[in-house]
Amino acid sequence: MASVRLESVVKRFGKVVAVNNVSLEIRDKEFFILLGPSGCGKTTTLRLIAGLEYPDSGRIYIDDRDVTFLEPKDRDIAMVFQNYALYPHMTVFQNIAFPLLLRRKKLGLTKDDIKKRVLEVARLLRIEELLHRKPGQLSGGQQQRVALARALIRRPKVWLMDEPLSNLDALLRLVMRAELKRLQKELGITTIYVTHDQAEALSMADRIAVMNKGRVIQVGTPDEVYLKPKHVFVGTFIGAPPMNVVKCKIEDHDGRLILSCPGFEREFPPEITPEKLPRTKEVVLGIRPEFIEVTDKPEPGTIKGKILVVEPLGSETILNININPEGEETIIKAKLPKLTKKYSAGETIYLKIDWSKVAVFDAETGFALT
Amino acid sequence: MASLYYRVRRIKLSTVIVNIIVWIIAILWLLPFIGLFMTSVRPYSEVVLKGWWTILGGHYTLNNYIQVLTNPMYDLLRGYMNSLTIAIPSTFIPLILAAMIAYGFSRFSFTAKNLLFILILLIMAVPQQTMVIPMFFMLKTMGLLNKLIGLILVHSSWGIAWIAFFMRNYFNMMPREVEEAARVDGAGWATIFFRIVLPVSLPALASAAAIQFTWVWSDFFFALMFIYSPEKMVITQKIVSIKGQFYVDWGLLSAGSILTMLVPLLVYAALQKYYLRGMVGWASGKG
Repeated sequence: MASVRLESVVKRFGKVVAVNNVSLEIRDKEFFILLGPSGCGKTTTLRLIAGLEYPDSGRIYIDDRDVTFLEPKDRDIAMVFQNYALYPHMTVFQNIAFPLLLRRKKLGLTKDDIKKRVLEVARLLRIEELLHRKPGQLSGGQQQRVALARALIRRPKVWLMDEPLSNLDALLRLVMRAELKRLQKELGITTIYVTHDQAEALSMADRIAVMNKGRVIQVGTPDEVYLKPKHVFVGTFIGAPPMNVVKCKIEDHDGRLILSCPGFEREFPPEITPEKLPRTKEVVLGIRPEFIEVTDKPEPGTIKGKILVVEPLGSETILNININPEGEETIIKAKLPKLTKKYSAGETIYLKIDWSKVAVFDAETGFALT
Repeated sequence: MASLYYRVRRIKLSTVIVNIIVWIIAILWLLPFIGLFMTSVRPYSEVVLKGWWTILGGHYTLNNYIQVLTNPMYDLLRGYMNSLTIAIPSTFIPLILAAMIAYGFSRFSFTAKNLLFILILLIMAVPQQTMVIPMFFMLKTMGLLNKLIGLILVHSSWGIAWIAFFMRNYFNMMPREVEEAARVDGAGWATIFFRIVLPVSLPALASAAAIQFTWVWSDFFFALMFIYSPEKMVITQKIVSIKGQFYVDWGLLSAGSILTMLVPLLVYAALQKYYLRGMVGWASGKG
């Protein structure tokens, strides 16, 4: 039904480059998430697609139609704002009906048609009993639903959402996350969604674009960005707790590659198949906390460490381990789903790393080498 | 006893002091009005003999009010009509024009925007007295001297400056997302302004309306300068004519003054629920 394409889009605010040469392709019916820290340009990118800002250069296409400089109303999009932006002086019914009322003549709708469609959408979002209230009399979750309904009523080609769940409390956010995803799949509307919450992105998206400092760092499925980060930034931004990073050196000992890290040294793991390795000697290892196991006794290939903090989280436990007790403190977090033994701070343990899941990044540029 | 003891103890000294100060100021503010009211309900002889602030004792009468309203010599009702004819358009014309100007200043960028805004501020700073002579000649050239429409024009243009300033500040504090939502929903600028921005700004508009109306209603200076036929005089001019050259009936004058004050008071009362919110909105950014 609708695809969205951005070609080398640049947007500056004064001297600040908010969006730096961003090219994206969002497929039809896709749930596409722009993820990044605050100030990374994700909201500006969304506003450019909405037509609330115009780019300094580059092009934006919706369904192969150039919409770069079209008014928002001519793009056939709908948007859900972070603070919902409901019309405070109108009832819920009027809020939802507003986009249709404005296009009444163009769409050839009667008042009854509009009423019918409002009721339909209200039923879908379970807000029928709120239709006569004003936004000020609604809870955050209810306002959220009204904003979604208003964005739905027109059956737009593209749905744009700017952190729509960030003003909800944690529990409701989880509920709405699932509901939103279900709704999007049911209706099959191409959706571009902005968030800084990596868990939200991983759980909802078909594909994620990770942004930083105005640039797109990586585009991929949740699995891809999680397991195969293209840049050390992606690894450390995604995941809770994020990827452990350890600065290491690769040394060539007469043809044998030796990996030398703070606290341990070993032969370069054969599980890692570096593509561009020979070019660089300084690397950053990226190790996801869940790909680490611990044992009490040393085994071949294990790394000795000392527990600093134990964080029990109910279903899992996170250990903060210093793997370089003799030198400069180097902390690695290990996420352990089932603990056979109760650990406490100060204990010495041994780490078993699943080397096939370890990412290697260029220490200078931060880009992945594997 | 115990509960009373606690209740007395819990009131802080600072609260007591603040309350006393507030009450003193309030009474000081009200005192002239009370005096005025007392004068208006007493016969002339008592006012002259006993002074205007005797509250107890003596006679009370509505005679002054009846006199001032019915005596054709004072013609107060015509003054009322003229004042309304001027004050109502002089409130709504600048209100709508200034709101549009303010919205432009708040939301769009255009050449010489800051210069124009400074000009508005300058106009606000100029005393009326310095402008009255050029204005007199302008109205004379346009043939609008001694005409109600001329005075409406003067008040409207004078009002536009401050209302535009006031509304711009209000619009600047209004969140833009609501308007952006309307843009995405398909509204053009006119629709956004009239169907979203104006209704949402009702508190600010009501405050501005109340202030502008009172200002125009209470104006004596401009009316004195630009209106001179008795049948076109506004209420403030009519009040002055109650006072004779050699003889002042304080009772009549007070009654007339109170009747004049009544209209702005009613306007404030009617708009109170809006303008209180408007004032708060101006200070805190919440509409």
